[in-house]
Amino acid sequence: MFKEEREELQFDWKMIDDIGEGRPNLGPGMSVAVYRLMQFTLRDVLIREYGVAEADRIFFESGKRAGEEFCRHTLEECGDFGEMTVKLQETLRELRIGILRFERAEVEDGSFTITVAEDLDCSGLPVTDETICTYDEGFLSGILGVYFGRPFDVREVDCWCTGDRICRFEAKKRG
Amino acid sequence: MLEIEESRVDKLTELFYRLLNGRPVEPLELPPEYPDDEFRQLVGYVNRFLREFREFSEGMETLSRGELDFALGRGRLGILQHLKSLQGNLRHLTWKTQQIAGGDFEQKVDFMGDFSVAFNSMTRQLREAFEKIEKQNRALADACEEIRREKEKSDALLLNILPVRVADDLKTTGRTVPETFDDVTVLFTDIVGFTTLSSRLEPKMLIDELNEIFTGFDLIIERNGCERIKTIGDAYLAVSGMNGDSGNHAENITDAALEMVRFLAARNRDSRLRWEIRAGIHSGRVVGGVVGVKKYIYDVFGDTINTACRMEQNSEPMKINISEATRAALGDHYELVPRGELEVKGKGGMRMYFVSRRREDFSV
Repeated sequence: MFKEEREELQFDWKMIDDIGEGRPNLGPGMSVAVYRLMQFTLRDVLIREYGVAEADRIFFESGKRAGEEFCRHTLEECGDFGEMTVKLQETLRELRIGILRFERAEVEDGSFTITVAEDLDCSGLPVTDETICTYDEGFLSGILGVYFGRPFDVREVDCWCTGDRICRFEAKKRG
Repeated sequence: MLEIEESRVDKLTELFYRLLNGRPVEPLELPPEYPDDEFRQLVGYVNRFLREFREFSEGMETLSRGELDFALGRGRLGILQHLKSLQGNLRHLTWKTQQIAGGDFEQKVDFMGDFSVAFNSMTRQLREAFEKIEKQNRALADACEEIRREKEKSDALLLNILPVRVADDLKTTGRTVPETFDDVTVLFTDIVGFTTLSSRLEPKMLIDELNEIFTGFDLIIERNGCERIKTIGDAYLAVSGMNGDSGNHAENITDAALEMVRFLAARNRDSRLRWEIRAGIHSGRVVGGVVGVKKYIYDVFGDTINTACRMEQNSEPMKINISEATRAALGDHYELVPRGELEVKGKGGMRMYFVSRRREDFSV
């Protein structure tokens, strides 16, 4: 299930399974530091093994896969775009992923500016003049892609690591 | 020991003096040959500060005009980052406001301190006000629907007792004037032996029977474009040609009379009580108008009415007796049985005809 060879992606939400049963004492929450420990060590190894560009691509694709499944699992019953944004904001806040806000939304054109404050990946990191939230780019791309049924390009334009206090993403429907 | 020319320190002092007094400031310049020492480093930091401060200042000025769509570069100066956050928050609030203006009252603002509280409170109050208005609108729509239904009922009731045109006059102007109709056809029917039979029937049964028969007549009259004027006991009076849109008023009412006879004959086959009518038709001039103020009664008057009544009196059970005037109006569209000249009280001899049926080559 988890370690078999595969040509196609096989992730299923059921793989997350029953956390309540598995962690009756510690519960579903954990430290952001642990998340970052995993993310940055993984990035570290991926960059060493495959280089920065390929590591970025893997992060983006993983985030996109997560976004797609997240949308199917969490936002499936949302009707119009407004309802979806409310639910998305609420869920990201409840899961403590970040404070998501829409700055601009041109639904007809499929063009959006989205910010995430207190982002799980980068908030508080040193300023290095790099945008590092590649996983988030993929995550938003996956969500928008599933919701609108069209692929989306998402690019991080501002990041804590570029000296900003929020991460800002430009999303655009492809084609 | 670092030695700096006094004039360079003066320029640095002047720069901050101008900056603190809101005057335009240009970056400091050092000649290329100036050594790469701590002063050059200081000038570099000052110029970077000036650049980022200028960007902040221009951004603030744009923001103060209410313009949110401007780009801020990357800089590590705290005030520049805060301005960028402020710009982002204002853009988000603008978007939220647009969503709420579009009727999406589920939108909320989080983590913006007092502003979140005020904004969310405003949204809640807007939603409550909107829901209240919607509720009132629904109540209003229900009331309008109720009024419409009641109006339909009252209109239907009015049409039961008044011709359409007269009812319209009364509704729009509150009054109606008597009118002369030069060329109409009048039908009179009477139930044969009603008085004798009615004395043997329970009142309720009698009324039920009359109601059923006259309801059937009403439908026939309406279907043939005629107007029921009134019933008097077992007598039924209808007119055709008063609406001004019926060129064949004599034919219309003759067709109605034939249908009434057929209706009664069919009813008699399945009914324990058997009823027959005598029908009389005459064409000519009548005067119509509303009689009464509170209880409106529309009635028709004139010799044509009396003559139609005489035609009925000279008719026979389940037959339709028409005058010469009506025969002329009917032309040769019907099979008629001439009855010759019969004596009519107060009028002398009048030619009369029984109507057998509409001729097939003139069927409707």
